[in-house]
Amino acid sequence: MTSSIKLMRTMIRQKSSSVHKVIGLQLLALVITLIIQLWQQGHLDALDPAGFFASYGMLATMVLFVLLALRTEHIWTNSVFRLIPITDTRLYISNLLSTFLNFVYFLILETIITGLLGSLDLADFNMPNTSHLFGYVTSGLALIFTLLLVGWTFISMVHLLGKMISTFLPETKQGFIQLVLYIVVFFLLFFVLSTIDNTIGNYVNNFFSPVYSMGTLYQIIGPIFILSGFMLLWVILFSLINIYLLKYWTEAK
Amino acid sequence: MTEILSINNLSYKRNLTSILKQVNCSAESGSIIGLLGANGAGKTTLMRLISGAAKGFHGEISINGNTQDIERKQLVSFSHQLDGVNSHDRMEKIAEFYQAVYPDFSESAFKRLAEFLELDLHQRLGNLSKGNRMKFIIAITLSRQVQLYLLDEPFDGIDSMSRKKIIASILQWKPVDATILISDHHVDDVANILDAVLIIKDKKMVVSEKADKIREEYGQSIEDYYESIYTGGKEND
Amino acid sequence: MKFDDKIPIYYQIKQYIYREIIIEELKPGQQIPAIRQLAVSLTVNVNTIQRALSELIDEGVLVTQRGKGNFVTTNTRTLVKLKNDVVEAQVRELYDQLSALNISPDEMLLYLKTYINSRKEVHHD
Repeated sequence: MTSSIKLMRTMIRQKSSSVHKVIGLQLLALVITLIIQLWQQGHLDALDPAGFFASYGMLATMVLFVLLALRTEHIWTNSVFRLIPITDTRLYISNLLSTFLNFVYFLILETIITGLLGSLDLADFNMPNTSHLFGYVTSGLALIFTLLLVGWTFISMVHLLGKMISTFLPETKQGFIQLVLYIVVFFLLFFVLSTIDNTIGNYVNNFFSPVYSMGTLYQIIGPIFILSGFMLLWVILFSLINIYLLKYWTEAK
Repeated sequence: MTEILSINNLSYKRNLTSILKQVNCSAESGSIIGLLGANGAGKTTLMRLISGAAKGFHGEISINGNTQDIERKQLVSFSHQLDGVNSHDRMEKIAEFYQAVYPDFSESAFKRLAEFLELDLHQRLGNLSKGNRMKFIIAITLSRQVQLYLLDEPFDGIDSMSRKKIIASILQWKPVDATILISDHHVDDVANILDAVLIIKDKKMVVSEKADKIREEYGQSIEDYYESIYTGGKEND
Repeated sequence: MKFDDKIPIYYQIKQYIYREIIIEELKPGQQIPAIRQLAVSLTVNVNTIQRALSELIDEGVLVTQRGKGNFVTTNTRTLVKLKNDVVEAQVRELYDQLSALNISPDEMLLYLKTYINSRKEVHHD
């Protein structure tokens, strides 16, 4: 049997090319922006490379999320991976975890590059209460990480469910049924995302808003952790469904 | 000789169409067996089911008594078409990947096979001719040290020099106790090297016979026999 | 080597080795190539070679030396008998075919002599 560690190491290495690609593009965008700015302003003093870089961060994150999702999904139907002598559960965990760890790797690289470009001036932020800083950072990261995992496991579930359903349909009707499935999923996703968006919006607003009293804002930390916990439950539920679908229904091409 | 592969009442449906019906067959260990049948008869599907790539069948597939997917994946090396591999990857990189994730992949066996088949491993998968791509697939497949090899149409659409090389590599490097199942729709390619033949027709396994028995008792060449099965009596539809 | 696919391959391999021995391409006491090497050079399955060789060993035409391989026998009686058997099989076939054409044994001899002489003349040219 293949060892999970070996498989995961290989998957991490393969998927890291997506991380490098996205960061490369982000740096390219930064250089182009700086050149344009320099051309317009004529001098370097007022330029803020770290700020520009960070401002492309959100777009880069979204692109990477999608690229990693594509690579993750590709593995479910790929014979090269599916015929590896390893249980479907281990294959699933290796795939999901290697995707996740590449994202963490991406965040670390982003932080380092932003730091190198000109350290983020933390004093600019209206830090509520530094004694709760650890709580804010960990809860924020917990939420981001669980949200990402919900996203990837959800995408896998839709993909694998679609595959399973299509095995029961005549070849000619496949396109139509898949279209219906994706429309349903789109609305479901829209609903879920808007709920999540509201929650995060509140969190972020609170975090930066000077209106809130310093004394009470830290109370948001608890609910954020609870929300992350709920997200984690979804991740586990989706994963159990995915492993079942993988083991009994998902064929390799 | 012992049985390496045994298939009992295997049926498989996909998209509301039956692809294999009540298939029964077996294979002796150490032999080379031809899986013959017209295009679309179900040869590739049968191999995909044996290897564990295809799911949701009825019946039993047993390799050395092991019926679980995961056990079969450890005992079988299937020459799928590498469709999921990035065509920009060089052959040496793909071999490294196999070496990393297939514990039974022998690097030295791969080196020998690649040299024998005259493959330039620096080349990218997407740039290979059909013959060289198939040679590479065969090299990768045979480099796994397993008990059962499934070679799916290894001679389909390739030039005769490549075909001869591939046949020689099979004869040269097949481990003595390993079994090879070769599917083909041109019987002529492989007739000489077969111990036995399985013939699939209309979703069913209609023949399982020793090659020499066909020659000795029926006085027919494998090809004539195969053609008589396909054109003659045993209609199922 | 080109095989007739209607005849079992192992049988054709036996005939091939008989011939090699008779024309002394394989000399008495000479080692036979390894099984796998034979399989690759004749493009047949190792099992087929195995079957042919084991029958040749049973017939005493080949002798196995443990750990060394298979050798052509040095037993002259066996070799003489082998040659007689192979020649006889050819002659028998000729005889059967000619007698199927209602040709008497005496006529057969005549035809054969005439034919041999004509070949000799061609040869002398």
